[in-house]
Amino acid sequence: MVLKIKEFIKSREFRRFSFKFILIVVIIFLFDFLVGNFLDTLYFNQKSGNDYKITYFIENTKADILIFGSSKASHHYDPAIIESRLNQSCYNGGRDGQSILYHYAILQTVLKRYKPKKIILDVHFKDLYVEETAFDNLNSLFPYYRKYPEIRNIIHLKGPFEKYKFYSHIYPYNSKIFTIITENIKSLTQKPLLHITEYKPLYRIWEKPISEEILKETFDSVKLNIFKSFVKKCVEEQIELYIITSPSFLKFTHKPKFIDTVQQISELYNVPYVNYLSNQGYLDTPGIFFDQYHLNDKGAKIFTEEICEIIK
Amino acid sequence: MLFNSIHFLFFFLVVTTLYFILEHKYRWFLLLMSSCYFYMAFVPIYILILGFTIVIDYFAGIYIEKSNGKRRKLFLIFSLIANIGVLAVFKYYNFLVDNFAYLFKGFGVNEPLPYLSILLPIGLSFHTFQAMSYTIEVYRGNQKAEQHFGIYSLYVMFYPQLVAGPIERPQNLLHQFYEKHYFEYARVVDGLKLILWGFFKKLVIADRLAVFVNAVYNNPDQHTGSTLILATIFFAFQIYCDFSGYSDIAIGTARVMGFKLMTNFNRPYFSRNISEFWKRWHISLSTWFKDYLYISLGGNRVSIPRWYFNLFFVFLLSGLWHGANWTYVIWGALNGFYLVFAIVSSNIREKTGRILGLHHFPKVNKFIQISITFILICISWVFFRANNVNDAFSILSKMIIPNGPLYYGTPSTIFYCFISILILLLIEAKWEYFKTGYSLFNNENWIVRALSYTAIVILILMIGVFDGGQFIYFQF
Repeated sequence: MVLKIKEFIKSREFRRFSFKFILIVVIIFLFDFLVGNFLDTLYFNQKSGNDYKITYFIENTKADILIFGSSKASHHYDPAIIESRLNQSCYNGGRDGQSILYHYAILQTVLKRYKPKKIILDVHFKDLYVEETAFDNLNSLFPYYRKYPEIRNIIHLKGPFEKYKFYSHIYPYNSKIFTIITENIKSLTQKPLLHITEYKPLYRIWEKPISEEILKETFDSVKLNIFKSFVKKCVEEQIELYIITSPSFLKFTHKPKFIDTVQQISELYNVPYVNYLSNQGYLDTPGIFFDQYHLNDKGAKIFTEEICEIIK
Repeated sequence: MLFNSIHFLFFFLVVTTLYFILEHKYRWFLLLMSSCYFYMAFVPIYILILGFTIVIDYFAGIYIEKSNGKRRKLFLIFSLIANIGVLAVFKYYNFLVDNFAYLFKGFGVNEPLPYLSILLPIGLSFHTFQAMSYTIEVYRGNQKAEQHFGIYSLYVMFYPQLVAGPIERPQNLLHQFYEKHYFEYARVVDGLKLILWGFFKKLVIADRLAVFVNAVYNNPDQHTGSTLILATIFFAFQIYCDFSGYSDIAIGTARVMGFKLMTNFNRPYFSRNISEFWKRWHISLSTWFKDYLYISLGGNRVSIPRWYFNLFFVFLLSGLWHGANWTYVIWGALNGFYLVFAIVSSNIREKTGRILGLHHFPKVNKFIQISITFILICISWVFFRANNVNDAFSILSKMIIPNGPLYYGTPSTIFYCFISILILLLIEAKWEYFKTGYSLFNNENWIVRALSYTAIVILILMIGVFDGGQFIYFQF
């Protein structure tokens, strides 16, 4: 006999090991369940901080105008200006380091709850090109995995085994324990922030000369499909969508490919697209950039005023 | 296939189960096929390179044993040239081309030699050295030539230690493939505990520290001396936990199946001097260099200048072994210099210690020695981690006068970094200085043991980094 399965299973050592191993696994799962649920309660008990802003975006905001995008969205669009100019409530849900994957996940959860009148999607090259950390940053959505089935397909893009990791109740809170504890301590003395936004003004003037950006222009097919899905979803829900590439203090040897691609998709779905990437007007205006990629607060105010003219 | 992947966990489970249910005479075949699969999960075609050196060394071993005199030596030389040749082509060729180009530039010659666009086969340095130790030991008469081609192949390719060691010796490993291993509760549990501890070091400590270290070392110009000092200290623990964590997983994996691999790390940062450090750090490599190069050069049984040269040269080569970059060569040379300087200055240091009265305070003396050794090692790590020599010197010059604000990333990053180092130091200090006494992992009470395993798993889930990627030493 090549395989001695029965002998192996019946051996005293193996049976002793199996019994103790199963017992340990049960203990681990029990502690995982208890600690995970405790962390879940603490997480959703936060009343401030970055995690709370995600929860607010998904569960609370009912703003007429929503802004999606990465750090360029969070630093370039002042919702106070939009609200005063257009007399419509506005929530800036831009988030540093996040790509279209994150925003599509959020969009799906928000649309289950209510339909905004307008959406601004700020898109730039990192949204569509291959980028190492794009999938890693989806960790921000992990705490919402159990509550919101809509985001699971996006999270599963991280890897083929990702869904199995969520059998653990602690895993969604991986690397969040510090902020969960500190924000909960703050919550003891703080009321929940009623009017919050992700808009983060930047206060510095970039004084270096304009630099040339060399792009690795390999499209990420997954991101491209998700971008199309985002646009399509807005169109199907009859939401006015505006796709915008906001200004950067950069020059390029040639027109980045993503602009034509975004243009084509916009035209396909009959959605307006405005490209300010290397807009000479902004490049020539002194003192409005924080760094090569972001406007400072002065620049953001000028830019937001201009956007209000487009979306009103 | 990375150890820190779910793919590996399934692979380990399947292979280990099959290993124990298979009849003993077929187990070598299972392990060999599994090792092939493991290796081919990286770049499949490179198994041909492994196959090439295995065939060369298998026959070399047999002919060395059968031959006498000059022929015996010739077969050994042929085997060593084949192994070093493969290493030279895949690892050092482009480095040599770069340096030739630099030298010939002055004579107006551009690109004297063409570059090769090839990937470095994973674990090349490790299995090459392991193969060379076989032919050398057969030549020395310490090991009988292996007649079974499959078993010899398995010696080179044994998957737990194939890509990052420990670099084994044939006297230790070969005979184990002939021994029948039974499923033994205590041994299997020991192996699993090691694997768990290895994962803890890799996921919770090494990959967490890497977040900060990479942010600083990839942009050294943007950071102050104090930040660079902190990043260097973090790197010291990152590389230790990354490499020793891998070794623990490798040794634990092998132990579950009944194989005993050599210890590769022995709490090196508790060393009191550089010599002791190299008896505790990457033991399999340092003993390889000692047994096959240092002693062959005469060791310390030569004139004093020659002895110093031997030490320095061995460490220089050890640096080069790590990578085709001048930073590694300088790192190796610096460690060689430390050793030589320690010998040269031993009398002065002892006298200084007596004058300061340190011999009256052995614990304080020990603490000072450990601290100084750690600082010296950290200085050498700057070269190991820096992207190039210019960066390394620039970092060191900033560290001399560490002014400027300290960059700490986010509060949570720095919190996790310090907590993980603290856990490591507490546990390793316990193992180093309080070997007897209360133990969690080896407690008599099974419930205490179970809860301590649970705590480690919970910590891994809570603060482990799951996107960390491969082990540092895979690149060697």
